[in-house]
Amino acid sequence: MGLEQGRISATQLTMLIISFLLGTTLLFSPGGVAGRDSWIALLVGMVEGLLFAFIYATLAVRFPGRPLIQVFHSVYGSVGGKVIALFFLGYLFHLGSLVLTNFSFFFNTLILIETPSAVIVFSIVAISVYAARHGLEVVARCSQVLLPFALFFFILTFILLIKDFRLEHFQPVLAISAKRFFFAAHSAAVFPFGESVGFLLALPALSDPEKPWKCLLLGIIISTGVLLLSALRNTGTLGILQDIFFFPSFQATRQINVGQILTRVEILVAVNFLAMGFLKYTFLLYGVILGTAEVFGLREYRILGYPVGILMGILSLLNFAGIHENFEFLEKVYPFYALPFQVGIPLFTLIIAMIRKLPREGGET
Amino acid sequence: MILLLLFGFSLIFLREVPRLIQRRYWRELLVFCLFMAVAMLLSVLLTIGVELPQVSTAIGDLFLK
Amino acid sequence: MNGDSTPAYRIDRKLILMILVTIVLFTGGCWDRREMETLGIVAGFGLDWVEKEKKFVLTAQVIKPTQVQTPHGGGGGGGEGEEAVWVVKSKAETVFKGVRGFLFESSRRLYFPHNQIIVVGKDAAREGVGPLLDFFTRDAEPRLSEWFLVAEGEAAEVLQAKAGLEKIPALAISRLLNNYTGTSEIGRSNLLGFLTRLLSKTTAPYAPLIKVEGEGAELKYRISGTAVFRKDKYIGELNKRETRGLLWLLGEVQDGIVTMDYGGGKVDVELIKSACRIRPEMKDGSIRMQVEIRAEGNLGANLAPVDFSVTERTRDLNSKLATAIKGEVEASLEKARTLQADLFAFGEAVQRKYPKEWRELEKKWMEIFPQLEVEIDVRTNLRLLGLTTRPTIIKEE
Repeated sequence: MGLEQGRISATQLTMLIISFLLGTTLLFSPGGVAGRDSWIALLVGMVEGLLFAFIYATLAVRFPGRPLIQVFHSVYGSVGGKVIALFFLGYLFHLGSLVLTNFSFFFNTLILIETPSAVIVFSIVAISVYAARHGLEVVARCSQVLLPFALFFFILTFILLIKDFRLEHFQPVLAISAKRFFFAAHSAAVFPFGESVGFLLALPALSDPEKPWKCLLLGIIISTGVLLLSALRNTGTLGILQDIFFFPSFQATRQINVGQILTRVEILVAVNFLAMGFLKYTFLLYGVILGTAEVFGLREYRILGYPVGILMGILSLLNFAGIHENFEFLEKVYPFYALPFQVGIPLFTLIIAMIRKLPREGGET
Repeated sequence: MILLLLFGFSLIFLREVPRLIQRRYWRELLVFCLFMAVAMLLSVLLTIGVELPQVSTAIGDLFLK
Repeated sequence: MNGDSTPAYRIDRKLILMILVTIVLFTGGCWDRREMETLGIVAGFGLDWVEKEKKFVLTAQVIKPTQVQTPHGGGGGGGEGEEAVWVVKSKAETVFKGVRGFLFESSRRLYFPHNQIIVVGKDAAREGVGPLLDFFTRDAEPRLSEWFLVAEGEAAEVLQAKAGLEKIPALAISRLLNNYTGTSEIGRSNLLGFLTRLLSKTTAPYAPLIKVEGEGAELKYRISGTAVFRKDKYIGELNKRETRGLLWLLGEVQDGIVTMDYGGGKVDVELIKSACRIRPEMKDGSIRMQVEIRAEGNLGANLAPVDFSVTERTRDLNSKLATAIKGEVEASLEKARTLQADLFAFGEAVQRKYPKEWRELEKKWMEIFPQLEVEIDVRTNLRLLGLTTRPTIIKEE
């Protein structure tokens, strides 16, 4: 049996997946390379993302209730399994640090301009460690509390901006080159949908082990819906201008002005980002400490909360020299960099497990 | 600054270590200390202003070439 | 927590909680704390260019918080004589440096999120407003809803002028622009609109022109027309009639007045609403723009000896109104052609309908635009005649 004793319901998992996928994407529009067509790119990206998720779900159903690291062990053997697990955890570790970097860049640019980035990062690390140490149940319950608020705020900003939408901003549809469009769609698949690969670590804790596909499917579709509205909002209000801003969502929300009274509500975007980004980071932290504890054969994972959290925080300070590097990485490198981890490892594991006819009936390998 | 940092780290040690010793979780203690040592080393280096490489930028350069 | 929490442990937690709360009390907001008393809230911002020194002159209209409050519940409106704003200037090679340069004179850091208007002097506008726009989009404080204006003379004069009814002149200008619908002869433009036009490669940005009159302490301002830009440089202007023509084509005309000669007198029609549809037609490689304008209006004033309660006459007036509107649109088109400025976003309309052909057209659009054939179709409807049926003035036969 794994180290995680807690169990979460399918609804909780779905909500956690939605929060996770919305984590940083409410600010960094996925598929933004496609400009005014980013909303279409997003939909195409969702299809690709669902293909990824199908791999994860198939893998999870094949080994119901078995922690991922044990799956790696039985598929690749003891040493090979550890190596693959460390690579995989390394990716999640890096992803977590990227979330923190996004936090510090966003807050340093727009809200807390003079606050040192270390302070921003480590205040988030502190609460995340606290939550992650208490296990998956607590993280899932956090998302149950925070997600409704985030969705409410999001839909509120959307409704308040409807009157500023201009249909011309969407035309001409699909005038960009096919190569650019499909690259944008692929970027959207990798960021954020493919990142749900992290849930391979949480699926064994699902109280109903038959349902991972349903949760992933629902989670991805609902979050796509939200991101779609977000892309429509940004293009509809800002049009061509969205291309010149680092944070188009923030700028679009800044346009809210209902009768000179209801204005300056852009802080809601920051609140949403804080809530969803916190969940994304916390889940990644949880996944990394759980996986690491299993790799090292520890009897509990919470002991790793502080050190791993701090290390992620430190790495986040070392990620990029400046915000331009972050965006260049996201646009040019990440769509390729993430593939081995999001598709390579799960697919390879699944194929080998099929060839070796794992898991064998009765008994451990 | 460094003193503050060390104070923070010792708080974490105080919180975690006694429980581990009480339960005789030696393996856990070892891994914990290992990770903490790396974290401490890096944060001390950062605090005293040693230039560390930009990790993701390096990964990016690797891919763009 | 787990079940191993003994009572002693709980006390520990309480102690820790207390320590934490105390820390929070003393450390709340070290870095980005901003107090009202340390900020100078900017209401209006102006930019001028000094050719001799190759430097920008920046002017800021800063609100004096103590002078804005009405002391006795709206009785009288503040201290007489004391101004509610303070105008401060700064000179520098770049806008951003200039903004910091305010600190040589101002005891408070200037705070831009509540800025209402940006005024650019004509010389600075000729030189290009790019440097200004960079500051207002890159910096985190300003917002994109600020109104953009061009001063006939210097921007500094506009910001020094007094508003008749408001204490803060910049706020007054902003309100004035919000009420543009009363005449529909002001081509207003906020940063968002201006930038959208600037980023589209062919559309020409525009901004209202503001003129300062009077001398010394009695400076006043009025909107005098519309400034037209190519890229970020001022190239010419529209008068009020041409501005109305522009607004027709943008579908932004609302409550303006159209005055016509009818039967030996003047007749005013008050417009209520309008809509405009621009459709490009491409035939054998040449483009034609089809413009369809719909307008609805009420009879506002009748100084002619004509009884408009007769349907036939109203129809006649309708067609006259359509001709008048067409005249305004054509005047505007003519001016735009001579300025070679695609104010009406015709290029964008072509791009939307013919994205493939547009790639070729875009390069030579500036040559195509002045030759464009524009077909204008105006449909009007008179709905209400006011309170009176027959004219009060009847000329003697």
